[in-house]
Amino acid sequence: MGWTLRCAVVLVLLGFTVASPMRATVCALDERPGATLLLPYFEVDLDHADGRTTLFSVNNASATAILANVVLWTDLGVPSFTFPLYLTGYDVQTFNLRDLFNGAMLKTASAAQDPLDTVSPKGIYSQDVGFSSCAGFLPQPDLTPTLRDHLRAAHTGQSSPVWSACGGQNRGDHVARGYLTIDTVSRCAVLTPADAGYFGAGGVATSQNVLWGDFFYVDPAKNYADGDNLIRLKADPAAFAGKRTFYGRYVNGSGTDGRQSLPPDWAARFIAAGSFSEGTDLIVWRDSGQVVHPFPCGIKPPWYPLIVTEYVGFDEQEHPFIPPTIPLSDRYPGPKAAPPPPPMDQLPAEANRLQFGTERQPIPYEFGWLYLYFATFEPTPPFGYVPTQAWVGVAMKAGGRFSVGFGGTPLSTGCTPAEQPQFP
Amino acid sequence: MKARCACLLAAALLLAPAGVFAEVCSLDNAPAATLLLPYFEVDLDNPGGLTTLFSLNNASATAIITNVVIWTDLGVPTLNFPVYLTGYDVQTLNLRDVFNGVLQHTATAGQDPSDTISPKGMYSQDVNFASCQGLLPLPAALPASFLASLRAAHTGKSSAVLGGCAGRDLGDHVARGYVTVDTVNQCTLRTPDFLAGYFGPDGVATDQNVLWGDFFYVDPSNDYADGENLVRIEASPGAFKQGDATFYGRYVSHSGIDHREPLATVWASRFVAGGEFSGGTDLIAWRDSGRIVKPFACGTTPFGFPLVMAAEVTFDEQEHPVTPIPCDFLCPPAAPVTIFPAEAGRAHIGGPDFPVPFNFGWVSLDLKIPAGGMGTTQFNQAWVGTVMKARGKFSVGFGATPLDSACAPLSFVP
Repeated sequence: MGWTLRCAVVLVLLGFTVASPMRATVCALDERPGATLLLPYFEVDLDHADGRTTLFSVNNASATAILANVVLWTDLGVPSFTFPLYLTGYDVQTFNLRDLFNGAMLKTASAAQDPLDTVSPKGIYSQDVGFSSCAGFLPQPDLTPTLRDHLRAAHTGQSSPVWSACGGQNRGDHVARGYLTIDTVSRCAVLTPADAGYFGAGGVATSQNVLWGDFFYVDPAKNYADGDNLIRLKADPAAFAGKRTFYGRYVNGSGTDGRQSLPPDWAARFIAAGSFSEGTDLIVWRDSGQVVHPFPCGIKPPWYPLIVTEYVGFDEQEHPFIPPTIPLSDRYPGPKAAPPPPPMDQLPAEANRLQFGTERQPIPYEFGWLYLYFATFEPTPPFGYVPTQAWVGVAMKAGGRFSVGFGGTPLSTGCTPAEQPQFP
Repeated sequence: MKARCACLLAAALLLAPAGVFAEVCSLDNAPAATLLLPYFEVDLDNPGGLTTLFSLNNASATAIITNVVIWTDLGVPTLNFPVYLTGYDVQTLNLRDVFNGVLQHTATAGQDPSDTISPKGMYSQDVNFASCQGLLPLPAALPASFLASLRAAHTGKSSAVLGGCAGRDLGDHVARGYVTVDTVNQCTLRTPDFLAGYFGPDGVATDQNVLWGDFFYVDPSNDYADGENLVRIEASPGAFKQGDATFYGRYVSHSGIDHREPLATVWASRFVAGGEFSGGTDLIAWRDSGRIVKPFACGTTPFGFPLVMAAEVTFDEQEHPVTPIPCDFLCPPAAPVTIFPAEAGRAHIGGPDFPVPFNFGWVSLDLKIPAGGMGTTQFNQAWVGTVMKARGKFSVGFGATPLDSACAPLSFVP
């Protein structure tokens, strides 16, 4: 069969049919394109060039050219680096985070910075426009040695030469960890969602629900790879006034970011035997509710470690494993009429990977499922829980052979989150 | 202790989200009333070869009955059986076991008074479904003659039980098809294609949005495994009226009484065929033919097949599109796109059925059947998944991106 490019007249048709943002249902956590993408956790082994790394893609579902703002956050939620990404209509850009930690930046440029269309070429269906605000930003130069060293230090729990402070957990290895957000924006700017001027009237963030993408954890040395869709957060500027939103902590709960929030309660299956002999890792992103700034090395932010308000492990006969009665954390929330189960602090950061069942809190089952509820305890009357948003994924691993990863099951929505744990 | 357990169970039942939450037409991963395993394959010649596993989970404290239905890749139901789930139960199934004649052993309290077949924990309800007497626990093995017919039906051979063929014969001995799992109110021998008695006021199907689960394709001999969440299809009584698209619409004359949200019609998926992923990319697709498919004479093809699709466009990473149109100027009507000719299938991007000139990029698929074809455009829902493979090392699977919903389908794809 022969192949041909379609004639330009189709582009005209396209302008009438697909230019508007995708219809978004703003409470469900579905896979349709969103205005924000969340890579919930990344890791890059900086000591081994062929060691584990994280790949992701960013795709534009519309014919309209867009700008996106990529923000790296440490695993404790400190924004460490931001850069703009220009996407022509229907563009796809793929990243290996190892490249970034080596200082190499992805090159994109809007029409104004790329008059010959060599940096960000496009096809006949795709719009290419000039963003004058991107002059001096795009195409993005490679990182200076200082900035590269900053990134590597900030994401391994070391002192950053830019901050003269720390921003993440020091796990005693040389693996960069954190999470990443990508927002549609109206102009190039050195801003993050934590900055004034990002959301709201005159803010750079837009509500274009056109972003989709995926992410992979790849460990070539161990023959592991697993992945999933990036989390797509839909925006509706009119839907969330005064309500929970994804970036609520940065807008004082006003809802002006317009982004749907995530639910607090999740279910996930686990396997630690049979073909999947290396067990199941939990990938967890969670909202600390705090605006986190760099902190003196050697100490942690006052909220650290985060706790899991309730978790219950069930075997395949539904026998629940309830944590032992001795609190494992000194952050036990205190007296209450009916004391809750002791909290689990093995997911202490905002972005986490936990080898479930083998790290600190063993679980006596090889197969089953896990219930997780994320909340903070309100220490003043009338007491109670304040649900906090989270995302949970699993990676099931067969020693040195293969792994399978997918998202957990949300049990409520960010719009109507479960107000208390499910189990008494 | 018993009193404490009863108290905990009562509290759990009260606290448990009965229908959890349903936002219909969103295709999210919330627990649902129907689960779809969009495509399965089991290599019947190689006990250590490719197979498909899946799990069924009950998100509520309330005990439930589910109806598992196995369909051929052309949409003929071949086997159904009830699976009982106590509250918060999880059951894992290897479809190789089914094709070896071994079915899942579960039983409600009435058939399992000593609680040895379907044990439960203290948060979980366990009740009796009298309708399951004589059906649960399922027999230890399927009769040999039925098993032979089942294997034949799913490999495109003549099935004595069905009196003909029911699936595609792709020249191998790999069983293919798809699976649906519905919440029901009784043990039943009915399937969703029954003209009456499955859906509706007197039907067996219920609207309990409590099912979740996942599926894996595992190929131990090639060290491949990938998987994804089962597709969750939420029920919403009252949300759908006559003429609306629903998941089982073709079986209820599009009356909406199945209450199940439909899938999407337009999908996008990335593909890679280089770098780490030297084994390229497969797409998994489930499609609604819009027809009630019956067994057919071997050597023929059921009416309406092979399925065609409205459009397919492939983009490279510079957004250069290509479409399978065989000329540049004054083109005759485009040849029908038959990348996914069955209701359930797998296609290798870059292979003979899905040629593309790029190693990296993405595809846009409008899986509606063109109005001039053998089906009706409005109701042709689909689901698409992506599997990227590194030869002999690993593979990664995840769902593709829906760009619409059959509740409000897009009418155009670039």
